[in-house]
Amino acid sequence: MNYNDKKITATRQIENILSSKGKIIRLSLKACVRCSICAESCFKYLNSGGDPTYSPAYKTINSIGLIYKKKGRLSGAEFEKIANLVWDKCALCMRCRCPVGIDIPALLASARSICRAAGISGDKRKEISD
Amino acid sequence: MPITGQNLYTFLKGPGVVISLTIFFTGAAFNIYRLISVTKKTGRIIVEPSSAVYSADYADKGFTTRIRLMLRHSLFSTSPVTGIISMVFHILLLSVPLTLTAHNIIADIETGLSFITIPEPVSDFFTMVIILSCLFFFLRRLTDRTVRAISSFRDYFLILLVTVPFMSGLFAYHHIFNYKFMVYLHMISAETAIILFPFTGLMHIPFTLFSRFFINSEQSLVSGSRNW
Repeated sequence: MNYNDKKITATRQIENILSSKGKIIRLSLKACVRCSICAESCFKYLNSGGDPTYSPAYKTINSIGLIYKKKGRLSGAEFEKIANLVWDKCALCMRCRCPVGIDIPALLASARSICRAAGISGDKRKEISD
Repeated sequence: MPITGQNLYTFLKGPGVVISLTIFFTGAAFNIYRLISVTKKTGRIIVEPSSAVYSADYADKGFTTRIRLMLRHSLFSTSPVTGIISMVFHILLLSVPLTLTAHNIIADIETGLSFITIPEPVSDFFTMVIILSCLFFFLRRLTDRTVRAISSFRDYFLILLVTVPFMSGLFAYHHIFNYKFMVYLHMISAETAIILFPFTGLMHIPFTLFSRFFINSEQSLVSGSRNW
């Protein structure tokens, strides 16, 4: 498969993920009142000394939120930033609690799926860091 | 017909209320339909807490144990001040407009229907509590770096959208500043807030109720029968 075919396949996969989960992503992002109370339930955030970029709301808004807003059409650098948020700054431990009831782990998992479709994988990132 | 003060007042008191409430209920119903459409029935499943210490009690106690665990892992234990202010704010936000004497007098004259009313000094006090709560949320958004990092114009706008009707109503009642201006500001801002409710972040209210009572999760108040 040449580069263009891979790109078309990736775009289709991303579109499929966004179309199947688009409604819940949209509702969740709209219902989020940016209260940041979810941060208190994230051990990575607590261990980072309160770094805002580790808060689940920040990770969600700047990963799946950005992907949804731009309909999956992001640059490689943008995908790398998102991968940093959803893999390096998130263990997907599912401990995050939202007072409104938004399923934050599901949204972050969707962001990971989209990154994988774009050719960025958490496994490869681990190899690089090792 | 020229737009005079009397015409505007009559419009805002009558058709304005009907239009805003119609848009509100239609939008709210559509949002509830969307929430139902993105969930599916799973049947009633008891979600047990992960800790083995509580699992034996949990099977017997049910609702009260669920409440106790929820409170222990909730905002009330991690940020009690924010939790209590938020709870008081939301309760008063709904109850004060409905139980206000002035609103009920107008409703009684226009429709013959009215709700229970609370004494005016009490509703004054509650209104000030709401305004101070809004101020707390605004300052928290400005000063807490974690909240500030994810805040945008829409979040500050929401706080303003909720504060202005209560503040203008309080000023109008006490004849602070120009009475007519405050009354018009109160009616226009309140009706705008009601219209925008289903289309802004204020829809976190039906979302929260839906997730607490219908979705099966650790945070639900009763064993829900649906899942995302």
